[in-house]
Amino acid sequence: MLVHIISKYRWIALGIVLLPIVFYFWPKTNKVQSSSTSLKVYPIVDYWRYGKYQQQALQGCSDIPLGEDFIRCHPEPLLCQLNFEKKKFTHVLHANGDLDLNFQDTFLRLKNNCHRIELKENIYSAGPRDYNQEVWSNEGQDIKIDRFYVSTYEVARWKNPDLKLTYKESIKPALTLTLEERHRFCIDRGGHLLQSHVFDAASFFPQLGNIGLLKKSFYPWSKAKRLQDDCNSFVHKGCELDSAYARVGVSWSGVFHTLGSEAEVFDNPMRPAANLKFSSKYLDSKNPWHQIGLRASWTRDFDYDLTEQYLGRLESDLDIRGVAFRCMYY
Amino acid sequence: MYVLLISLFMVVSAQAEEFSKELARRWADIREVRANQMLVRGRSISEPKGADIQIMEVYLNGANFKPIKDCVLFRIPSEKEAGLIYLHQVQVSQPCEEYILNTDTFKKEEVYNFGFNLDKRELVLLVDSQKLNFKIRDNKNFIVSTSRLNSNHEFKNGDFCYRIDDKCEVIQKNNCDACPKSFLNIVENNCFNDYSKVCSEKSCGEKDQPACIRGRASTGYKLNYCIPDSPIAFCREGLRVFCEEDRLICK
Repeated sequence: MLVHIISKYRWIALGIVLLPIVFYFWPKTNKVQSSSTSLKVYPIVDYWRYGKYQQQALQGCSDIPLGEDFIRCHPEPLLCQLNFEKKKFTHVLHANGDLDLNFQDTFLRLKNNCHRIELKENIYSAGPRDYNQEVWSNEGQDIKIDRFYVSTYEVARWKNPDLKLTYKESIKPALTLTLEERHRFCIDRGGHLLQSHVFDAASFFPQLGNIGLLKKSFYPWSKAKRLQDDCNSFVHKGCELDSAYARVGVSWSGVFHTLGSEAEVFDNPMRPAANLKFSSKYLDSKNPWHQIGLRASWTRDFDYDLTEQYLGRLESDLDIRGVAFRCMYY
Repeated sequence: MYVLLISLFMVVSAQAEEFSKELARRWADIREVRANQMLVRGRSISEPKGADIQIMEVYLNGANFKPIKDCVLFRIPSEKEAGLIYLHQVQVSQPCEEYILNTDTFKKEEVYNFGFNLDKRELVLLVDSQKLNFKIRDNKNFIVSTSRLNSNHEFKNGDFCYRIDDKCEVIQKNNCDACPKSFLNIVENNCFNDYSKVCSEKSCGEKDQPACIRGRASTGYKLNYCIPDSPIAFCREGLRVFCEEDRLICK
């Protein structure tokens, strides 16, 4: 009799037994598949910001050495790391260097901010003279400046996103674009070609209090008028410079290459002709052009006027062998 | 008496521990801190005695990536009464002033010395003998969202991508990432601690573009900004600053 009942209702009995099991497992399986909170955002952000990747993740995938400034905010090693961790995602690299990562239902935009400093709010004065020339202030403007020169990697990626360069080629300063191309490059990055008075603000020691008694420093390393001719203080004749990311010629603001290194072009809305920093690695350490605030002129193509535009005392007949540049952002 | 003092001490230290534990939980993910500019950092806040003041706004990532903020308010100790730190968690748009004197909330009583230190990376609360450190995540470096970014914003050059009013209040959130290329600051009102931004592929000071900003602090100019040749802005050679539709433009 019992066997008969079991045999008759065996599918119902099986259903009663299995149903709770299915209910028990169903929501859990679903949760694992759709959960956006399972994505840990901060380790990814920290990889991007600080570049402390796992060595194994980069092997055979990226030749950028760990610990270099260049590895920060760089998409290549991050993609290596995420693939190494077997993460499922798609990505979009924007023209301004921001990287979008799409992990199923979570979107993460990593901002290309690693190599920028924010100019402190203060009253500044452009040019090399002590008195209040070209005074301006940046309260409320949120001005950010590239700490390093634009590199060949950035220009290559801008011209052709698929172009691959080795690490050694990538890190060289970009020296050969036309003036118009440099403007376009910075606009495409969401910024503008660095303005001359902003570069001066980031180079001279800032002065607090009464600006009527403005006293400008000669060099970026100290207020004293004392030359430091080692190759770390600034790259001059006899020093090596093979990287846009070299930590040399630093000023109080954290901007590098403020003196020496390469000649550098700016946009100068206050005095358009004064747009070229001529202090560079081609000049002897004692050359008077090695003083912050001095400007020569790059008019167009290969037309340079190497007369100092503010003081008028200095001239040069040296050939310009490439000009570096960088961008600023509001 | 001795037992009473011991019990009082235990109650106070338990409350202090509870306060720091709760803050550590609440402030594990600080996005930004806006402190009262009138207060000197690193010093005990002691004036005006007995008054309730706003110390800071602590911006946090709330549930579902919705930002919220903690209003940190303080009743300054006086001869009659010990100090009181009290917090209200509110929507970002709500002003903290509305919660002054409303102490029926998460709080720490019996405070005799309260001050703080703040930089870009860290907030330090100095509460009597305690030093409470909180890391500030640099939120300018990433955006996280459950929906595609910028999907609702299609700007063209000349459009405002960020806008503030005369009182420096934000009337259009910053979405300048959605500009076709780049953007510029523009003077269009009497707020001088912040500027509206317009999408542009040109540089400041060029023809028909926003004038470059010289600033108010550098010029000391306090009168109406909206005049021809306004001293707070400048243009490129051969152009002049004009004020059109309340905006400083180069012509």
